[in-house]
Amino acid sequence: MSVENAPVVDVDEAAIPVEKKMYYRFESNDKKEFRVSELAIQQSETLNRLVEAMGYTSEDVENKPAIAIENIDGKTLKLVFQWCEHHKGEAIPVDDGSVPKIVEIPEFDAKLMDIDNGLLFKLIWAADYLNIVQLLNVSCKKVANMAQGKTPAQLRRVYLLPSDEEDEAAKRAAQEAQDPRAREVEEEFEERKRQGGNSFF
Amino acid sequence: MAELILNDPIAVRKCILLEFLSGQPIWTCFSNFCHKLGENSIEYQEFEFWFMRFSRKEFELDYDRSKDPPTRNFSYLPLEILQKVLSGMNGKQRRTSALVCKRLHDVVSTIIPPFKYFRVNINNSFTLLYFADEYLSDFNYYSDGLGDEGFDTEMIFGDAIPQKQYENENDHQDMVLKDVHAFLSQPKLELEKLDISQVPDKFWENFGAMFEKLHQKVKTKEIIIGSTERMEELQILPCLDPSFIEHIVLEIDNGTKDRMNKILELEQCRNVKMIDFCLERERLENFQVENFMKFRRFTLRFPAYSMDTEQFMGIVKTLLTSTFLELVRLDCYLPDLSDSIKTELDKITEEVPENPKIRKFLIPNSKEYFEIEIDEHAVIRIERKQ
Repeated sequence: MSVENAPVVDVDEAAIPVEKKMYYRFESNDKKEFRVSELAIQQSETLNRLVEAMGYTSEDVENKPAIAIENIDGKTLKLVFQWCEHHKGEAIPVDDGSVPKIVEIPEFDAKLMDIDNGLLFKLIWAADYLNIVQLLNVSCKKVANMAQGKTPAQLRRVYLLPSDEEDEAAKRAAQEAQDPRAREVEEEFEERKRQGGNSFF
Repeated sequence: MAELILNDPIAVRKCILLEFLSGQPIWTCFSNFCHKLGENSIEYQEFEFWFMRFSRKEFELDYDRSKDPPTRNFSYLPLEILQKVLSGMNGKQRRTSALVCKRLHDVVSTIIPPFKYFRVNINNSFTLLYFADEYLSDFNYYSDGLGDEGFDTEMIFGDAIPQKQYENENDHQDMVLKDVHAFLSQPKLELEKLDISQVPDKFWENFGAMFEKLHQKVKTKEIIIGSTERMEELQILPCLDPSFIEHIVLEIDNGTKDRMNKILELEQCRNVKMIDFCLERERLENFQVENFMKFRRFTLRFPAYSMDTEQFMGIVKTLLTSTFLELVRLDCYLPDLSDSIKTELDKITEEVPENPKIRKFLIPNSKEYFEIEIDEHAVIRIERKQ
């Protein structure tokens, strides 16, 4: 299924009636509304628990206000729900953190994430907030893949990270107050930089 | 000319569109753009925004971004997510990321490094450090340029390129020491196998001292120490995390009582699942099985080609008197004596009707017995059973 054909629809744009099975209505923080199937919701542990706790019937869904997701905007939420609809019914991977998993990005996901980094980072944040394990896995992998073949300076540009000089002044005071080893760690890091990054770590 | 283009947003977007139409990956297109119009002519984020729109077939050049919700940068992601991102990188990418800024450096130091295997092979004039992760096997090569002791780099390297290659270093071993120290000091390092296969005599003192200076106990499931009469294991084993180690392999040339007792006293050897003693250079007349009687689970491997059945059975019978022994594998590679050893074993053991390959040695005054299995090479397994 292509990204364009994924069955998530903004209510405003919906011309085609959504399937008759159970679905829920959600609203983003910029008042965009989405109808999402019950099965797709199961990909998100957070939303799944929420709708279970609310115990909505089909009538409630129509008559009560859409469930508000306060801290995610419509553009991001649309991507999230497109992903959930496409992967509905799939097993949710268990991540016990003990063994690093090799994540492969399926074609649909790769196309869905053909977005600028600003939006991708919001998608990652949303996947984490909504606890959508596999979406978080693939989106983090996409960011990890950006490091391929790049120098530290190039990565700084891609990730829009401040240089240490810009960052240092603000962080030093806070770190030294909190962590007595801060100075030591900093000197260690400077030493590695001086060595041209050739050391292991 | 560049100024004219850069001052005209639509012209800039047209240039990005042209780059997009080249079909190259985004970073290549961005680099080409900067090469043509100036290194700092555009922010990557601006370029990327338009490039990604074009890739979604949205070619509207006067699109107004100002109404879009604010975007976020990498620093906006919480620590757990940064850890997840960096965990998805291989060793080299992590090393690069650690140099981007202090925050990423700190994040890298909080995740388990991808390396599962580390092998140290130091020679007088050159060194190879092998380290493998889940993606690929890598190695570093260090040389003082004085000749490779018959070592053919082309043959060993093949198509592989060392991650680091230092030639003509006067003190190549000092660089090796620094790197081994840095590698083993990685926070959260959890190795499957640490193999210290070779360290020359003249260099051992510094190497052992480096190990003792590590700020953390090395976590490895298996350790191989290619040691000799210097008793290196007594210096290295205490630097390992005793709660993590499962298998110890010691290649030693002399299993003296004093040495074995010292090994036995180490915390790292107390609860280990198996200790393999590879006595490659042990002379039969010097070998005394009594020195190993207090070990619980171990392998004795030594090439005793001149040993006869009686001598071999003497070792077996002695082991069967051990009150500590739980499991031993006796590997002397004596295929010619296999049948005669079996015959002798039959005399002191009972058969197990359901398994003809196994014999049972009843331990006097005990409900326990030793299960004994012998293969065609006369490799014997003796295991205590209830």
